[in-house]
Amino acid sequence: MNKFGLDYWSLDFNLNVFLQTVKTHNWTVYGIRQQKDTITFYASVLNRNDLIKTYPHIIHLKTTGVIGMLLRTFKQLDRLIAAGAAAALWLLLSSTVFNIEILGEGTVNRALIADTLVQLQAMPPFQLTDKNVLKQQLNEELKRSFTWIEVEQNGSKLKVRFLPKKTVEKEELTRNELIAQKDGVIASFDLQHGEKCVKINDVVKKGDLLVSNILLDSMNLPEEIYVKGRVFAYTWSDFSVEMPNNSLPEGVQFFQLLFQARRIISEELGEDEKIVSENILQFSVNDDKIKMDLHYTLLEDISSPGE
Amino acid sequence: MITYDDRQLMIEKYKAILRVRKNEIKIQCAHYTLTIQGSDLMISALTRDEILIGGTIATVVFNNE
Repeated sequence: MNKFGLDYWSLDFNLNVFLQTVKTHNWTVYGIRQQKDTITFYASVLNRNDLIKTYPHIIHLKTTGVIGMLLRTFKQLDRLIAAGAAAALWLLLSSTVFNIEILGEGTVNRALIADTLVQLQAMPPFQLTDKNVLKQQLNEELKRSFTWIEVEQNGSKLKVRFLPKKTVEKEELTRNELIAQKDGVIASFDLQHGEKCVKINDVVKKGDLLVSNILLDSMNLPEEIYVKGRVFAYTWSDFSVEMPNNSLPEGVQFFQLLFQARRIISEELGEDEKIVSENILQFSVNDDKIKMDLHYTLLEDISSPGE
Repeated sequence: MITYDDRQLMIEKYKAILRVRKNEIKIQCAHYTLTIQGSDLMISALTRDEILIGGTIATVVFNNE
């Protein structure tokens, strides 16, 4: 029998004539039974109109299978409305984006993509009818910064993948000499270009020439060269920190001042610079204030390009 | 062409159905009449060219015309 469903009919008619009619009309019928003068049978739902037209007094008993269930369901208005609402909601939500994931190298690049999406009014939740349009817009806006941008939609999640443009920055070299900014003892060199004028463990004063831009060639003739790099030296720093006296124990006051001093000194240190040693010279507590004197030995870059 | 077992019988390219009873069904084919006898006979399926008869089939008789 048809697996999707059949109409079940009852007909008061001569069986033999009915069977001939079935053959003539090219219907397909199943389960023909006769009880007295009443014939019952199953037929395809597609033959329904034909059967009613041929036998106006035929009685439709039921429709079996999935087709029967669907027809019974959609005869009720509230179910029809619910089915329509469900379909509309599905269509609406299937094109709604609730989450955006940006995948690629660099926090700055990801932030740039995110800002561009905000400018294009692509902030979740939003309707995305065509992801190719969004992809094209992103490529147009960001073509200077990115080699490739791809947009793919996976359910309600949008994934934006990118490849940033990689450019090499042109290095600009100068011929300015490196001059000592502070007194110190030379510790190390981080030099790419230039002629050293001092060596490790040399004591230098502020203003001394550390790296020169003049190189003597094999004929002892001066040749001007580029200078680039850093010169590290041990330097010293004495300073004091103080705070108003409070009711905290002396040990706590001591460490408060100590950490304050370390914080102050660390704020001035740059890349590859560090505190080598720390000496507390004096710690005094008076009625109204607490004072600490410290001496620091630092490893600093003391070079500075001269003019 | 006829294919059958003890519970059903399929007839292809029949011409007409002459009689349908619970214990006998008579079918007109191209060159012969087919009489199926048994009990609880019913037409399980019927199309323009094929007929499937179900029930307990006792005998099948061919009558040449």
